[in-house]
Amino acid sequence: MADDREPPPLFDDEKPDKKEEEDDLFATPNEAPKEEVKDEPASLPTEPVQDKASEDLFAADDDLFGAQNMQEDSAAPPQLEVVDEPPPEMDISGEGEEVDLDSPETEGPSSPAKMEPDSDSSPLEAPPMAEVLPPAKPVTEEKPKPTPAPRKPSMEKSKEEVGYTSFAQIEEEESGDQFALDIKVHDPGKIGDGMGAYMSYKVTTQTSIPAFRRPSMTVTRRFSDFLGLHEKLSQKHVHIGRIVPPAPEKSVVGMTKIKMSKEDTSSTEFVEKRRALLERFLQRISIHPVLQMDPDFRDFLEQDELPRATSTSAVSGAGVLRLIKGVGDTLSKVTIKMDESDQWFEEKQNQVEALDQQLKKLHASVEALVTYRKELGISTAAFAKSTAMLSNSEEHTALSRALSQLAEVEEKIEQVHLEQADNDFFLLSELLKDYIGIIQAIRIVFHERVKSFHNWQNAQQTLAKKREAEAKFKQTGKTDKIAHAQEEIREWEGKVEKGREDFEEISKTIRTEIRRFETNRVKDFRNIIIKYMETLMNSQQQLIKYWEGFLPEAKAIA
Amino acid sequence: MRSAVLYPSVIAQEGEDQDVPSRLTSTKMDNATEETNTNGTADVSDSPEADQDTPESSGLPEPTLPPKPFEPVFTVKVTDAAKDGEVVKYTLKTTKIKSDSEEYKVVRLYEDFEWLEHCLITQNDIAGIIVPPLPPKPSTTAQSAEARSKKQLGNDIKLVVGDEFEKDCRSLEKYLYLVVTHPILGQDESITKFLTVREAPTRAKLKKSIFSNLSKAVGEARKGGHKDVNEFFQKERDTVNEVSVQMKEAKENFMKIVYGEQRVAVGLSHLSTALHLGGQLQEGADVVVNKLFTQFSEGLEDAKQGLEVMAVNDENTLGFSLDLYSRYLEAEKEMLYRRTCKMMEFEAASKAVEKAKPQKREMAVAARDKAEKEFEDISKAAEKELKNFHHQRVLTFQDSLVRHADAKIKAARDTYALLTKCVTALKTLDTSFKPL
Repeated sequence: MADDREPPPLFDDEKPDKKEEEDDLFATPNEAPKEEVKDEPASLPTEPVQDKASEDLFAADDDLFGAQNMQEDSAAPPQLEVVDEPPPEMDISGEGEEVDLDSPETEGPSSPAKMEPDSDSSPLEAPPMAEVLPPAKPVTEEKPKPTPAPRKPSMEKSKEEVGYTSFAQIEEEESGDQFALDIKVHDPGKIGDGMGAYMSYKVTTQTSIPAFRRPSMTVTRRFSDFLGLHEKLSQKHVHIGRIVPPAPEKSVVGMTKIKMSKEDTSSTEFVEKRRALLERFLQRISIHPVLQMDPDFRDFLEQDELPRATSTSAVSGAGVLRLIKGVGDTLSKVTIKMDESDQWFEEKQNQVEALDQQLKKLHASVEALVTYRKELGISTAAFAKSTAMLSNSEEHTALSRALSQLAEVEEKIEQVHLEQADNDFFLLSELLKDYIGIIQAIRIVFHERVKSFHNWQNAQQTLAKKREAEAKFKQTGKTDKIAHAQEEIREWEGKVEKGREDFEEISKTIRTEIRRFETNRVKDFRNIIIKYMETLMNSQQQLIKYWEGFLPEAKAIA
Repeated sequence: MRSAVLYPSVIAQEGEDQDVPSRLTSTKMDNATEETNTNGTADVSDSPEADQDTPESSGLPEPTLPPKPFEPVFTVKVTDAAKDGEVVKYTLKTTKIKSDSEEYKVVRLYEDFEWLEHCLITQNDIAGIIVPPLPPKPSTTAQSAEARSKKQLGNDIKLVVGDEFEKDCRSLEKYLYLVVTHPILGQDESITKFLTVREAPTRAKLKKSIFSNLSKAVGEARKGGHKDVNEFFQKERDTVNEVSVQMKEAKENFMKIVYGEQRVAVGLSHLSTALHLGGQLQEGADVVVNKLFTQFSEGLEDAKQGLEVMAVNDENTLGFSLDLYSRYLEAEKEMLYRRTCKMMEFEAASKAVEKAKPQKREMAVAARDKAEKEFEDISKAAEKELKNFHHQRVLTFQDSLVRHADAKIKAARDTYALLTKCVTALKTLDTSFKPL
């Protein structure tokens, strides 16, 4: 643990703030603590639900979500996440240390109890907290109230400063009583036969969040249910700037194989790939402070029966609408240009695009590596067979025995190669793919902001027109129309104001989301890279073991 | 430091030196057979005469002294291969075993080796001898390098594999060792001249007739199935037919593993490079991620080096032996074929005696007796050769397998150590950043 010390205090000048934040942070169960919890006994929950022999895969899947399995990882990265989540809907977010407000806000009703002691120490936060918490859950769809503009600069500043302090604090204290949401997808099973067949998956949730009916539950879901969940979350959250984890990919080829009852390795791989993907999808939602409290998400995890999500099919009415909307969006992306007044957004968009390029290149490299390794496994198996044949023909007993042993060793090494190829794939390749998908979600959110800006501009233009019209009526003396015109002006003034607020709101939300994304990215990549390197080490160890076992046999030949 | 740890040891060469003295000591020691250091190998006879035959015994045996065991005169190393245009020049360093001070250094071309082989075959009665196989001519052209690269690395990797001079040197060295230590061939003047005389012996143009190879193959196919009078030889022939195919296949598959290892190494290298290239943006989280990537890329380089070392060692140890014996077993087959031919001649001569008319009978009997003697001679020589051959084969493979395993263990341990360092560096990497 000592390995992962946060950098030395950069926040010496902020002691008073720090203290308050510190307290609040401890009271904030969701963010940091969640990561902590996953740190130590994280390995425990992985065990029961493995379908596949290779434990690496499961452990890896957990880790993808910021749950550091590795004991040594004290939650240095997680603190970044904790700090930066102001849920935009909260009125509070406009005030003071919005950073700290986020976490508690997202917990739900139980938080107030914990918050009380803290509220003493942080006068700014205390009153808002109490109000905020209850609405935290159901609020997700609501439009945020206008945030007082002048606060913003200070907010931004404090956010950043707080950032450092909180990391250090959380790392030092790592308290145990935190809210966790631990989700597993397991036991894929085929239901039905023929073209109507489908895979069902069990989804088990362990949670200490009181909003859930029970601390532990298991439900059965099918793929379209996951798509339905994504659909619902997207509709509610994307247009206000939240990055919703991308929907799991459909695969006609994969599913057709399943339907056709092909029980070969590729279909087993496909099922495992999908299971892991669905798990990561849910886990990414669960670490989002706002999305995790979404009632649709909760229903997904809790409800025994869900209404069939028929609108997710590509050919359904909703599917066609989506298609049309998608086309419309693409067109608007081309036609709507926005004068970016905020340098931050322009830079971020460039950065995101550059990241996309990089990830795609890496993904291609990893895919090649997986292929080569699998081929090496196959070659090893072929050699093992040749060696076994030589062993059979060999008349010299000791040499024959050694050759036979060699054949066995080579077979075991084939397994080492294949397992490593799996690790190459499930750890690296899927991670990169996930992030490429998330970047797509980010692009969507940026685009929503552009649309919001466009709306605002349109409203302004319409207002201007209405004002012109009113002026004209005044000129031409059409007094009967003036009243109506003035009504319209007021209406449009309201719309302009709303448009501006919406735009600013989405801008702010996006900033937060991007920060959260960055934090998660650092965490995910760090964890996966370390995990992957450890699998490489493990492969070497296995090689050592097998060859050391063989050596005496070889020496005993003559 | 990294590269220092993982230098592949040139393993095959050491084996040669060890083998020579051990053969020497065992043959020096009270005429004991070479088999004394084995534990009851099944197919090696314990007859003390097994290696005692010297060339002299087949010609003019020394009447007073017991037959001297054959002692190789020279130790040879092929120390260098230098490319001169399209021609490769090999440098040979030879020392006389009995007197270390006598050292010879010569330069030879592959064609010189071919000439040597020709001389050895034509100037000796090689009927019952399993002639050590000369390694195939190394390719030196750019096209062959490209073709080789495509074969090894596949079409998707656009790298050219380097010339395999190291491997060629070792193959030629092994060939010379086998000749020098052969009781009959080692005494031939040709090898002495080849090793010690500065100028290469003048060569006559060797006509490599396609037809002779073809007719030989056809002949083998026809006569190869002819049943043997001797059970030992019948078994030997059956076995060698089976094993030579299996050995070839094993060698091919083994080389596929070596190429596979090289390909994975290239894959790791590409990934490592791609990670390194990511670092343009230097703000916020990117700083940390780039640091992670850089460290990761170093770790991948370590893994890649480990694999490359393994590939080289594999080729030098087990790969080398598999390759050698793929060819050597063919030589055994050829020797057995020659004996089978003699056997059939003898059988034919015997039949001729039965059918011979009285006046021709004496001639027929003489012919038959001659054929019989030749057949017996070749069988005797063959039996000895086979025993030596198999014994050497077992020892060679033992040596290779032990070295192979040793090399693997060392490479894996070294790689593991480097990876551990990398993981530690990753874990202690400061992942804080200033959110923008």
